[in-house]
Amino acid sequence: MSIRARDFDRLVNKFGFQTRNSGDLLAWLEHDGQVVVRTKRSHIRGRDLPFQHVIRQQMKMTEEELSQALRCSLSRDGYIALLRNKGVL
Amino acid sequence: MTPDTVVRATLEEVPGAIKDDASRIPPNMAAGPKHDEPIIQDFEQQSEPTIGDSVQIGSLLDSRLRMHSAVTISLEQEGPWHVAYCEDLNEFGYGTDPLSAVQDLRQTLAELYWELKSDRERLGQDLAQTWDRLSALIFEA
Repeated sequence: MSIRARDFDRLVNKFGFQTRNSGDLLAWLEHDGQVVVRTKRSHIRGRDLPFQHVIRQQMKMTEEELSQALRCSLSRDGYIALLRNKGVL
Repeated sequence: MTPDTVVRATLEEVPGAIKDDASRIPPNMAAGPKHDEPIIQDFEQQSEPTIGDSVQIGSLLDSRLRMHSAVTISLEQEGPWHVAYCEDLNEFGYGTDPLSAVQDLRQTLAELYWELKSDRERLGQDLAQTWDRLSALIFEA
């Protein structure tokens, strides 16, 4: 499983992350008024993002869950449920 | 580079007057040389870190912030990218060479500090724990 910038952007948009450009693209998820997940990606285009296993960890996802998400079979509601099951929410 | 090398811009950036708060620093973050120990190499003068090194950073790329103690980072390479990884905070910096990766991580930790500080009243439990670790490690000048 590899993640490029466009995959990351699609994912955080689908899950409802807010984003801000810094040296990197910062992304964070708010739920019920709380900031619950935070991650970032580089501005590298057209190549795999560096250290994407840490991005996945920051998003609290296993490889399989990330794979599902990239296949579009994990919705925002599903992601929220996933975070709740993991005790993040 | 030896594992206990401290990456620090200047010795003066980390004053030795914060001993009262040392107990707040998690044990796994407190392993590095303390700022009152006379071992500091000047960051600009030391040899460039290389892949496989475990180095410590004792300052950030933000003149408003200081560190109570150095934090250990590892240097890795992924394809064309060099990555500096701080396992204690699960944060990384990257660049085209080890030095720029370390610099990016120093910038990242500073940004993380300000972001979590601004949201500290509404952080989820996971990020609240990160803030606790970060605020025990970093203080404002």
